[in-house]
Amino acid sequence: MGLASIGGRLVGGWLLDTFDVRRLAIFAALASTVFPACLILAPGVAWVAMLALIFHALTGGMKIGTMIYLTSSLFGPRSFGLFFGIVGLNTSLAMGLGPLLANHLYDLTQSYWPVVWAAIPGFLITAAMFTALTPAPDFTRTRRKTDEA
Amino acid sequence: MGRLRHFGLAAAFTSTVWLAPVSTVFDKAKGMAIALTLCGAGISAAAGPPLAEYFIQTYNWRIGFTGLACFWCGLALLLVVAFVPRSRAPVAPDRAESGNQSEPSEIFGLT
Repeated sequence: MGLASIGGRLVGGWLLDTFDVRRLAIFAALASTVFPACLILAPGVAWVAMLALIFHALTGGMKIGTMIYLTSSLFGPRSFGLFFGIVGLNTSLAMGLGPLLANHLYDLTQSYWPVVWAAIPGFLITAAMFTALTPAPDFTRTRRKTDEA
Repeated sequence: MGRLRHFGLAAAFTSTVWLAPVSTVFDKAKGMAIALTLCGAGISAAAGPPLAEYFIQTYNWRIGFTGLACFWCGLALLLVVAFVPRSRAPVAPDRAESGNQSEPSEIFGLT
């Protein structure tokens, strides 16, 4: 999974420099539904789960790069630290609370299937939110104007 | 316990500290620069356990902690001093009014 994640980051980096970042973010969010979908459609099949996990790690590596690129492009270099900190805080909170919630659901239902099913609308909502992003402002032009003033 | 708390605090800051200059300095190949930075974190995480094992086998775990800290700190410090361009402070309003604006406030588009 670590190797797939590194591969995903490198491929994601090349894609970020080549294609529209917003579309890549939408694609990465939609592609993330493949992992839970495979688990649902082929329950208990080890090789499908393994391939789906590798694919998920690849898209995960792409998602991190996309998130950082979007934060930098949309909020500018001066506000990068603040907004990336907020993104990191949300990610850490989700990573911390996710297992707690998943295991609480397991205790209630004696199954992880509700968690797997819940992941699909979660990724779809993420993709829908990425579609609402506006084009990134040109901070270099703003800076040049400030310098000229 | 206090040292662990400080370690956690330092770890919480690191990713923002790496990524802020990378996302500022690089322009055209920003995506690949971010990707390589993130890969570096993964590679160092993979290299950490063998290094730690070497120090523990050769010396002891206390030296292992210190050795790892010195190794990464020294390496990172050298690379930062050698390759990270120095960012300049923003132009103060009074300086801007006096017309002394020869230096840009931040570095853009080195790539």
